[in-house]
Amino acid sequence: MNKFFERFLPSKKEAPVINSGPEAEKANENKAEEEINIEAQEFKENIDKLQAEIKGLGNQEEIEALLQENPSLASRVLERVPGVALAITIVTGLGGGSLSNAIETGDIKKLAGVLIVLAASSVAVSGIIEFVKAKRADKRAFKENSAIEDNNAQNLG
Amino acid sequence: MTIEEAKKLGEKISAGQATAEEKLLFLKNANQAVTDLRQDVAALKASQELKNVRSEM
Repeated sequence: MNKFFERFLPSKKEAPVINSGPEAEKANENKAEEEINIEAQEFKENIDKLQAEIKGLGNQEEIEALLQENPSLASRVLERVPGVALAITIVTGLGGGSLSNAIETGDIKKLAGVLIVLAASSVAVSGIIEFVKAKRADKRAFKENSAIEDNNAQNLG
Repeated sequence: MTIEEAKKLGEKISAGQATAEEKLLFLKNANQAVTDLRQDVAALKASQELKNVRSEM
């Protein structure tokens, strides 16, 4: 082919990218699942480090004394603990006990105990993966259910 | 993300109604919450070590 015309043909690098269709949807889904696995692994490692660091502060009495000596830090910890406790509770399915109470607590006196429980909670990465994967979302089913609910709402209205 | 929003998203994931993006968002938020708490625990540790050094002097 004439060199002059060749320059107007799309090169291999410029091949059109398929952004839609079942193949692209599958590829996006796989990528998202891969990212979820990485994030779940990081979450588990982060929790492990947090637990080791809490244990490094000492026993409940020592942590209690430390919190009393640092009231501003204690207030910050108090604000953050419920978020972490909630994440662990939801992700691992751990319910009841001090960890669940940590979500509601606003008491610095109880904080040392809550941290001890947090440090002792067992968080297995398999549990996290199971949480995000076991009941895999079926987008179509969800959309269909939403559509049915919308119809019902309209009919009732 | 507020506690309430995280709770709702967690329930949605547990019910199998969340998309992959929502699951990723939940995990990222959870991870950030742990990272933030670790920073405070590190500050408490630093304070404890400082106190120990002072008591030894």
